[in-house]
Amino acid sequence: MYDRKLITGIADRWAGETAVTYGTNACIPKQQGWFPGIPSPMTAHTMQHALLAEYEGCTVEEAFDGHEIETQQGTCYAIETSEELELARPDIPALSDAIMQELRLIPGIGKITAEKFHQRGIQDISDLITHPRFGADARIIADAADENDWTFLEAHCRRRCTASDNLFLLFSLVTHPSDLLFFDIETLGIFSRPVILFGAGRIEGRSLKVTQYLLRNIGEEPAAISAVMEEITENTRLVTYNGRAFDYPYLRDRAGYYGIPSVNDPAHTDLLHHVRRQWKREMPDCRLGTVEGKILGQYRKEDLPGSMVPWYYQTYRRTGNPGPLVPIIEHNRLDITNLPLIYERLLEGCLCPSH
Amino acid sequence: MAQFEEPDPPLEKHVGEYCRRNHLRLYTHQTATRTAVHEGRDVMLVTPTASGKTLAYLIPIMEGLRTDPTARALMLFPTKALTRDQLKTATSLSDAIVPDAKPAVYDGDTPKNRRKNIRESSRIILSNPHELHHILSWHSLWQGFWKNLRYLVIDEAHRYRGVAGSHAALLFRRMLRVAAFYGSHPRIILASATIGNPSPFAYTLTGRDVSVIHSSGAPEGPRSFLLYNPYFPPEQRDTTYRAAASLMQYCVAQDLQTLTFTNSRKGAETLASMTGRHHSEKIPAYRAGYLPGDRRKLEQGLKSGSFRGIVSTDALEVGIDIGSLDSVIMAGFPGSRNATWQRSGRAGRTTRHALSVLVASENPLDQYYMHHPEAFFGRPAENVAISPENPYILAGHLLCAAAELPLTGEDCSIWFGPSASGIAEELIQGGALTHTRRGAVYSGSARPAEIVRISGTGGKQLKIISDGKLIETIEIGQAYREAHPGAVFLHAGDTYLIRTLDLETGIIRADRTKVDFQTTVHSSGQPESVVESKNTRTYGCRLSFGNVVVSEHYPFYQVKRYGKPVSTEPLSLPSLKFATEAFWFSFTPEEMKALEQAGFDPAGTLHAIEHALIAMMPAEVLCDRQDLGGFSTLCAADTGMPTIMVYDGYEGGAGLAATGFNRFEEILRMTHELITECPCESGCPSCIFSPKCGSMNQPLDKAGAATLLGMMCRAGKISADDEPSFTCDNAE
Repeated sequence: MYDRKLITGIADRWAGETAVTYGTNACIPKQQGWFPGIPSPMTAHTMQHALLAEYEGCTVEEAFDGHEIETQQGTCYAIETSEELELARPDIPALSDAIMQELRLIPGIGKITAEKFHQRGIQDISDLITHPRFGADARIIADAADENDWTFLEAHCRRRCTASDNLFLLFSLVTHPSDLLFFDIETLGIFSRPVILFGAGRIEGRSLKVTQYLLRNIGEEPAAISAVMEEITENTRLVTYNGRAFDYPYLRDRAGYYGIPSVNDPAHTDLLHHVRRQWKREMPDCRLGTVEGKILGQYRKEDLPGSMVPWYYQTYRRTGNPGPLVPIIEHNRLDITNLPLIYERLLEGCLCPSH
Repeated sequence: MAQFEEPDPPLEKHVGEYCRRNHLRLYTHQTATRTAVHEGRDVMLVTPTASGKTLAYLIPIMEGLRTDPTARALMLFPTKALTRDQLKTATSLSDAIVPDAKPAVYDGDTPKNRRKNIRESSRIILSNPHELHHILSWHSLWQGFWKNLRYLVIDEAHRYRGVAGSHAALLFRRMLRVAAFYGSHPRIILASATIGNPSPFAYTLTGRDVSVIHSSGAPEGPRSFLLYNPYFPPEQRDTTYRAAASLMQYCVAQDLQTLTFTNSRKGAETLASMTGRHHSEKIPAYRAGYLPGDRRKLEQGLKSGSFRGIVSTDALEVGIDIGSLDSVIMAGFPGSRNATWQRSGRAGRTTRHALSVLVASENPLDQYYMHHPEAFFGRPAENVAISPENPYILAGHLLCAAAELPLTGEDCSIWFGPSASGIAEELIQGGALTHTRRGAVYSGSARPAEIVRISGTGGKQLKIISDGKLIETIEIGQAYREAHPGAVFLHAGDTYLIRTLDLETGIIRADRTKVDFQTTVHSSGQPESVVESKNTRTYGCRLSFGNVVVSEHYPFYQVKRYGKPVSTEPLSLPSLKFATEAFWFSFTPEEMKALEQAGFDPAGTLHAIEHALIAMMPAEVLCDRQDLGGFSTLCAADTGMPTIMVYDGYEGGAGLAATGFNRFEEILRMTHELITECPCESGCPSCIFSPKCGSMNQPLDKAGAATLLGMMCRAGKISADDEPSFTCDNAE
């Protein structure tokens, strides 16, 4: 039986291992070269120091202009910002054209057969409708395209093409711009640990409205999750950067942790796959910061690397000083606002490869 | 004779057909298991090896999967090798009965691209505790599985003992809690070798009251069991291995297919080459660490009869299908009677006459059984001790549990025992957990299933590095015992010589070398503080149990070549301090004075009893004497009384001392017999010498020990009512 007098230090034993204890070494980003805002690890320390001094005595509510929201799971804090955005997207026929030109969507046609058809001048699935072997499948696809049955076609493409296929980028065209949800989370680690900030961006007319749900304490996580889940309806399409592998499974995992129901598999366009496909050769790596620099010509100043988010947040938890949250929130907001811009460029790139 | 029993109500249609087609009739214990599961009881099967335990649990599961098309089952095995072996059996049954069950192994070797499919569609999943530990926090991916989990099989349950067993017990609680979250409450079926305390053990392991099924209906063929003592008479000493080798040669020459077990990997190879040297046929060795392909070849060779003999470690003790052999030889007592029967069961699975030979080693326990065959054959099996209350182990699992689902106070008391909420509170104060409305939420940054290992107690970890490569991470206590400077360290079949151990950096440097010697470290422990939690008066002494903080000193180690001491080398390691559980018994200074006046050495007497008692502990509690530490003194620091103490060698305790406290009388009586019957004059390795004594087995007084133990046994058990004064003066 546990005897607290005799057996001491149980919590200490785990405190060291569970808490973030970034030494100076751990602060050096593993990948050198693309952290224009963070020239040396000491900056992370200095920056936190300065922030703590600047926000000394401040509350979260004073530091960030937002409002408390009520959910079935309690309250959390939402910070709303908005900026101008005019999203230019091609029209839906671009998608049906692309589908009809992809002969490989027909079961039985691989790279080589498609090539042979091309040489014979067959470029379009509708040309195959009378083909003795492929006719039946060609008709199914052509009919679906005629009837705008995008759900069927997208599911069919998932079976026939890789995740980075341009088609999947184009499938996002069927989602109305106001149903696109640009999404990114900041967490305390990789899976099984709380999400501390959820960023969601929506297009409203000519602007992008960003809502960030912040956990003022860990107890607000269920409320923030349910607020985010309410934003995801059956018409929603998530647009993320590596969200297929990370952000959305993480969100679902945390929802499962609290027993909050979640949408199993919402429509999702993960830009990372397409960035890799289009620009891999032009970039040293495919991190979001790199892409922003190379493609949008934007370099972040004083940005906080994602790996240091847990450390900054734990400092906030320990001190109650909202200073360290400032760069986390800013980092997340920039991630969200840049997603539509990259999305736009990718669409351009896949329709006019020469650019 | 085989005893069959027709199941009532009759078997589900398809299961019944399968049995008829394969001419299967259920033995009484198989039917009993099926009935229990049907009635919604949890059950533990403790029948002998080869009595058809697998079929006993698969039959009701197959029925359940047929009648409820959503039902799913999880089967856990302690090792990967066993899991693969059992997959074959499960598949052959389910393919015939429940074709959509698609049994599959889900463990570290399962390819990534198959995992999703298995999670979502396999209705029977086979895995191991290690894998379970890692997948529990992903329960939202497993929703369909947890929601429909109807059956949980824990095979080889007796293997979950000591520290590993305590981890397993808490892991099973975590799993049942996740299943309960999704609304399921699976039936638990435990299969185990024969143990002394099946019902309480199963309760501690799973938190459920189980029905125990003892009596086996499976036929047992005739068997001759030979106890062979090469150390008797003492002047004609032969070694265990030489005796085992010549017995093996004889058996093989008589055309008996023979399996010889040794208790170490090195031993297996030595014995194989010793036997093979005098024999035209090759005698291979089998042990863990060989490549799977090589192992399979050996297994096949045994099955087909192309090998007449093989030498193995405990790797062939269970599970692996090698067919039935003619004779089994055990070179040295395997440590428990239960393991002895397991090994012995490898011969004569059919009704042919089988031969088992136990060749004794010099160890006290071996020698005790050689002199007491009635104890060997007649005593109830050893008790299995586990201690999920160990606060160090518990704390780690609470972290994991809080990362799986928010941990409420109610959860703590339902699933994790009375100390859990206090420990959770401490973890909240320490910042690893955060209190929320929903319960405690894990809020650290490291992944708990990665930092909490399901072995050891979470103490300081040291890295063993050889040639710049990390070969193993071990806890400080184990490092002191096995990887001190100068130690010969075994890892995956290779030997390493330890060069340095640096506590500050946590790095142990080792060189891979071939050496022909072994090392044993010697230690002595001393209690620094003692908190008594219960005591009683029995066998003429005051017996106590409680928590202690022990300071262990490791003064030197011994180098041995072929079992013979070559040299003794000093060590300079700082003492190791840890909290653990202990039982101790004390006498009065007057009793010691009387011993002294009778010409005995009181200090040597207590010391000798301490050693012999620890050597006999494994006869009652499933453990190794290395798992225990001892201490004896004429004047205990806290009470001033002559005292002998036995403590768990693991931080927080593994339930060994607790079981020892409960079985004190039996252990003491055997200790008395051991010492009085040993033919040596003043002590030998077969009675009062300890292989790890930190004071060079000095002083020891065998005659004094025999006298004092004799007095104790004559005093016998005195009930608490007779002497109230001794039970009321509780120290705290």
